[in-house]
Amino acid sequence: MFASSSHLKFWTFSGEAELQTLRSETSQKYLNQHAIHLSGTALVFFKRFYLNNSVMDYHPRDLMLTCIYLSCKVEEFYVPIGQFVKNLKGDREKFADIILGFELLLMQKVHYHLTIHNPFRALEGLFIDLKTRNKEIDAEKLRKYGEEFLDQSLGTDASLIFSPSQIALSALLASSSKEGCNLDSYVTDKLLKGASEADLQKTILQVKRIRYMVKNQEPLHKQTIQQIQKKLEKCRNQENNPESEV
Amino acid sequence: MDNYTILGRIGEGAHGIVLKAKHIESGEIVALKKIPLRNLEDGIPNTALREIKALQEIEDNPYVVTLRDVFPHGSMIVLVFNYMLSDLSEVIRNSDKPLTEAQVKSYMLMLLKGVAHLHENHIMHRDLKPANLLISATGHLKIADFGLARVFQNKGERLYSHQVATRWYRSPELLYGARKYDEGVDLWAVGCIFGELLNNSPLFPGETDIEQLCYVLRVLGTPTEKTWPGMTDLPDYHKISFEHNLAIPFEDIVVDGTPNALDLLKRFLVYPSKQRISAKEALLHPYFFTEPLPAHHSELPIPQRTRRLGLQHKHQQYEYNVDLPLEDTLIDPDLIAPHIANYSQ
Repeated sequence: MFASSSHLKFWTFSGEAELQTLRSETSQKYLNQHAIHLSGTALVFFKRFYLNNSVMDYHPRDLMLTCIYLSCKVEEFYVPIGQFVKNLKGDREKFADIILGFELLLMQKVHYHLTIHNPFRALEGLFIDLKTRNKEIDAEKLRKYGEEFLDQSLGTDASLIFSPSQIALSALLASSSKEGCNLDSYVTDKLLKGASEADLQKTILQVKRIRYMVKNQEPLHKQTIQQIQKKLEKCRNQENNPESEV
Repeated sequence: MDNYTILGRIGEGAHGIVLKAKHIESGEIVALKKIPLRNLEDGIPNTALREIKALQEIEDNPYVVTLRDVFPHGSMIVLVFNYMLSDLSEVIRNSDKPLTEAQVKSYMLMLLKGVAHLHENHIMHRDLKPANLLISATGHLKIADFGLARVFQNKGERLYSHQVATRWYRSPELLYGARKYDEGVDLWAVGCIFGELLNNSPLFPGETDIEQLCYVLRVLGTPTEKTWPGMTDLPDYHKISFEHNLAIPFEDIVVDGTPNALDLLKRFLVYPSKQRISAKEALLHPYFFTEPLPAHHSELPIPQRTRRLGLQHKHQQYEYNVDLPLEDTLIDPDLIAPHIANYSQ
């Protein structure tokens, strides 16, 4: 009978809205596992690459794609090249050639150092610690802005200067001040318990630096980007341009 | 590639050919693992990437091969390792008499130290077997072939492939198709290798995956939800059922094993992965502290590579054999006399 069936009990929903929520939750769950690490790893590769290589030598667009493709492999989120370029607009075959052509170079230029320690994992660790040792604070409440902060930090040079745990701690503290809950005693009495006064001060200074860095990012203007792009087309090294005749 | 002189071919692996070469600058002998890039398909193979990623990250350890260098060469990527004379499978195969207990202990000690190091670095090897345990010219054992190695997270969220590990050393949860597993798969393999060293023949030599399970079940007994909690949830559990049979005591399988050896063996070969003794813990087992003590590495056999192919011969003229009688290595002066103008004076 339908009234007592599993069909009704488990598979009949209140409306499209509920389905939508369920679907987005499902994909979010999946993305949380993978996507965050991907963008973090890809951007670290990108930044490391351009420390020792000029944008005039290698076009950032080519390298950006290659960084994302390589980070998919490194973070064990494998996407075949055909599928990967399907998400791009334009000449897909050309993109595939570019990516595969630069993959080895990218690996070489980052000295085959492929393991990237992302601050997202460190933040997760801090949440777990909060939940076990500081139950009076609702750790989940801090998640949203904390992760946003980390996302923003990817645009800065933080990954080249600070340790992932310092960046994660900054995210946690930025989030707590935004949410209006005080974590000071948790940090001094629990998290950094036993640390010397000097170490404590050093950590506080680093956190300040990171928060300043993330907050004060210059927003990019479309006009400036276009200008730079135009300039780059003129002065780039044509030997490394896959489309060039040289 | 200009930095190396190729001396010969060592072997052909699943991921490419391995060459013996001399690093010109240092004169050291190395192994070059050449991995072709299937450029048209997907670029750098995942196995190569994993191997580089794992080996670049872990600190030097005497019981894990050292990745000396990586460089591109045409459409290949070349990994440079220190040259190793042989591997444990050859040691087992070529020893006329079974290894002594002290020798087995020594190999196990080195293997466990290497595995403990990997696990401390959150790396599961996933393909431990005698052929992947290389033996250096000084008799040391080093874990190699990280093509399947993965960094594991203890969160238990990620799904992994169960098509890993060579069948004889594959743990029961993998045989049942588990997609969530942990470093216990390596510890099972360590147990299998231990048994093979003691017996001088593989413990569970299954020809097919089903037969592999049969071998394991015959020795350990049919698992029950009590001896293996969570077993019925494994993906392939309901695909096959076996007749109920009782465990055979390990004493009947490894007849020459001492009580200490058997006790340690039993701790590796249990169904629930979490109950397997960790590498670190195993190193403290009384087995290693009772007579006969583990052999010094100079007392271990060092067989030569038996597979010598092609390229080797071309370069043999450069090699000298110090054991030959002196007169055999000299050139008869009369033979070259006509070619040297001033010889007669």
